[in-house]
Amino acid sequence: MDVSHIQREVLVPVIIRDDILQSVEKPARYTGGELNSIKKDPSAVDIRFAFCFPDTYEIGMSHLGMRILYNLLNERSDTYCERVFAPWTDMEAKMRENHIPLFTLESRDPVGEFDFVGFTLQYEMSYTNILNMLDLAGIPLLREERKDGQPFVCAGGPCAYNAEPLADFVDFFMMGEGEEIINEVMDVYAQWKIDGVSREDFLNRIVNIEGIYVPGFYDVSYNEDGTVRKVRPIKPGYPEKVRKRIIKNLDRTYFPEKMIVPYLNIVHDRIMLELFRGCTRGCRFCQAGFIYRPVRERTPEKLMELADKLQESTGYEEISLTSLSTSDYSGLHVLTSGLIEAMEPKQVNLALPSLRIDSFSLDLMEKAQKVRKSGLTFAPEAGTQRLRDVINKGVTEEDLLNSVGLAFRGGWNGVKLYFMIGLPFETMEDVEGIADLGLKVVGEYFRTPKEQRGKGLEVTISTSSFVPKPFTPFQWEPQDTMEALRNKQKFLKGRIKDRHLRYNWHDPQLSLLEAVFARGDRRTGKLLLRAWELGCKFDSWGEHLKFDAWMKAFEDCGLDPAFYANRKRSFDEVFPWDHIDVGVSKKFLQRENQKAEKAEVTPNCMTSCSGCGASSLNSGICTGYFGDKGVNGNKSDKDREARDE
Amino acid sequence: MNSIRIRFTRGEEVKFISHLDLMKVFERAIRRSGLPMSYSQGFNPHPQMVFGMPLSVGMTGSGEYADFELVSEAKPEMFVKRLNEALPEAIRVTAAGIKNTKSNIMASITGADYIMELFVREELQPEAALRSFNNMMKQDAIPVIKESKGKDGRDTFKETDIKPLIISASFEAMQDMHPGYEDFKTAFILKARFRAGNAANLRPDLFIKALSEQAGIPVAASRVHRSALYVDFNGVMTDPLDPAILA
Repeated sequence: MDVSHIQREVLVPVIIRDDILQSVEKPARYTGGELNSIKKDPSAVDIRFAFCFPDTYEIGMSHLGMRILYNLLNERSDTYCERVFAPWTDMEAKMRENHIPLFTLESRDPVGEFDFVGFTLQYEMSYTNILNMLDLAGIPLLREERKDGQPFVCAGGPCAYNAEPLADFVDFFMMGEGEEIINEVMDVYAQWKIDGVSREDFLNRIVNIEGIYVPGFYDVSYNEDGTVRKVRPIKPGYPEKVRKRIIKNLDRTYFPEKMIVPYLNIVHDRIMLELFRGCTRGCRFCQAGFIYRPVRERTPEKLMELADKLQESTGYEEISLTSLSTSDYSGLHVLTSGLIEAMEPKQVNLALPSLRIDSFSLDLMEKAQKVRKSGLTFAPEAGTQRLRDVINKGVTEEDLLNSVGLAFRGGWNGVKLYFMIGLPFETMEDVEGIADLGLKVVGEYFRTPKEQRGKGLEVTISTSSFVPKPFTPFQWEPQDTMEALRNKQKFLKGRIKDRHLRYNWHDPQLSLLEAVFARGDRRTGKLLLRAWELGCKFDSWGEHLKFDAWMKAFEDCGLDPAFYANRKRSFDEVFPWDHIDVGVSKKFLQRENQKAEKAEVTPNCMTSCSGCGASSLNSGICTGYFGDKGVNGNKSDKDREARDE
Repeated sequence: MNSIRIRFTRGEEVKFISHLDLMKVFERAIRRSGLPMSYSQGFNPHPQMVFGMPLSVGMTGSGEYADFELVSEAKPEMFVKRLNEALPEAIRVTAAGIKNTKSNIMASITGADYIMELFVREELQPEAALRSFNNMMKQDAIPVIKESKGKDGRDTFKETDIKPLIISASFEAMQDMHPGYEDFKTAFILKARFRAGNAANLRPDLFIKALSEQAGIPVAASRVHRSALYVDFNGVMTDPLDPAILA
């Protein structure tokens, strides 16, 4: 038996000279030592876990999931979890020039010698950074080339639900919420270190933990037309379907009472309080709305307690409420008034996310944030009621105009309106509707009495390009071609003439690539590797997107972007993610797709159950409970029925 | 009026954060500590605090100073203890005193002590380097071209004589090379006292430039530590926590 992997070698931290750090932008990205960061004696633990976020420090440190799992893993006395972010290009150049391997912020030990290297997958366009970080760490990119004694590369997060583009690079994926599964994997690993035989032996030991997907244990076959024929386990005993994990009771699950306070200004530089998981609304374009089902809430009492502890341990001057649609939180009133009362004497502000505007929330905003009354954000997403019904966005024109009217009367004078173009079943009338809605908002301002409204109206219209995502009712739909998207942008630009209106749009290149990887199959892994070889990284940072290199990579791999992005799928097509079970059934998504075409809306989970299948996860709103409080009765019978149909 | 002056160290782990970020660290530490700080009025209340001359990014310090305004009296020992409990490890408060004077630390700095580790790529004879250092120090003037950004954003070049800004300086070869600096063949330690503050100020990098240009010691990398700051008391450079200063 090879026991070399059992002995814990003491790793030698990398040394980064001052002159190197002085020559790069924001050196504090690489120096760690922040308040509440965790220092352990590396020789006193069995498991070294490098938690990697494939983007910059400022982006990665703003991600709540990473904060939770970092603290959770470090609660274990046998494990030391440390942080790693993608070095910015200036630092990467210095590291390569001086032969400095990728290192963790806590101990500065080389990542290539850890037990686990874990990546969180928050957006597709961070994938090239994963390859680049593995390369900087000296870890073979392809999982098949990794040997005993090298780290296991694992990944989780929303993009893991379509794991196939990364299947060649990642040893195993963890599907769903990580709080429980990651501990189960660590337990198995600690035992494997004592009596394990090989890498494959370890993967065999975890493959039947619910939520674990080991891509190497599955074989993919294709039809002649290039679509997937079947994804199946290579041996009996491996799960046919991998089901996501959820935390059933958020009040009772782990939430850190201390959080790192960065020295640098990060994107979300405040206490993040997670009110609930999931979303009841079911907007048909929104992946988060389906993959995080069912809705599960924390109670206001628990949240108050967490807020208090976090405020004391961080000294932050601001608390934000973090959830998919915070306005829908059943205890919002109690929580916000309680927080304002508790935090005001401590000079701590409450930052409110984009709430649905009604008189209650306006009043709240006045109380909570003594800020300038400038920007308010609304996301009607589509320009006409018909298209808003298609996407099941439960907002009417009247709602929007009432809300902005209230805001204008309250002294606000800036409004940002977010829309998507290229939505399924969209016509040019819908695109024109965006400009019309902008004008109506301007009209609402001028209807507001002069003495009530603020001076200098500015309405900003922004459009993003729709990207069809797996596990949504639009997973069968084609993305508009770049040409079609640009034409719509041009058309809309021509319609937005009023001097109070501004129009922002994005070039569709990035959206095309995002669409390819969102629904990519295992063959897109080669594409990813080729693009990285051609120098692609930090693709989501406009200045670094090398679209020509990407196009060359498609050509070199014999792949067609249109096959992945712009192709309409039939309902009987096998998807590369069909062997993953997020709770929501394919049948339900198909029904939703058909309703979308007829512009029929589906009520949200608070009103009635539509039988999406998530009740099989037996938790949250599906069991008639939000958090600890009963609402809504038991609706899951209908749900079960729908699932069985 | 309840004012307190502290002396603190700024260690390796926090030497790359900006002065603005350092102030934020103190602001949050004060919030955590529950000390009776006085806050400014307005939309975003800030604790009322003033720092001595900002340390350049990349330098460590062991004689840094800050003044705080409090809403009620606090014992210096208690203030130090509670602030240290709330600060990250790399920042330590080492002393404090009640401040009765109205003059704040920012305006009154006049001098600073530096310890610099200087690294040269080439192999230099320590005796020869020491000779050229001494020769430079004996010159009547040490002119250096100072680069700065003009109002229009363009680089401007101005020759300044740094001789009057150097109060003392000693120079010796470093025995053991700092880990990570093995590529450098020669290293020196320079201990110096420079004029500092609003009226006259010598930055260490300008002195290092003079070493390269005037003494032929081509410094390619450096580690700089500021060990003390001074304020003026009747023409004498004095510790900002001296009872005569605080009175």
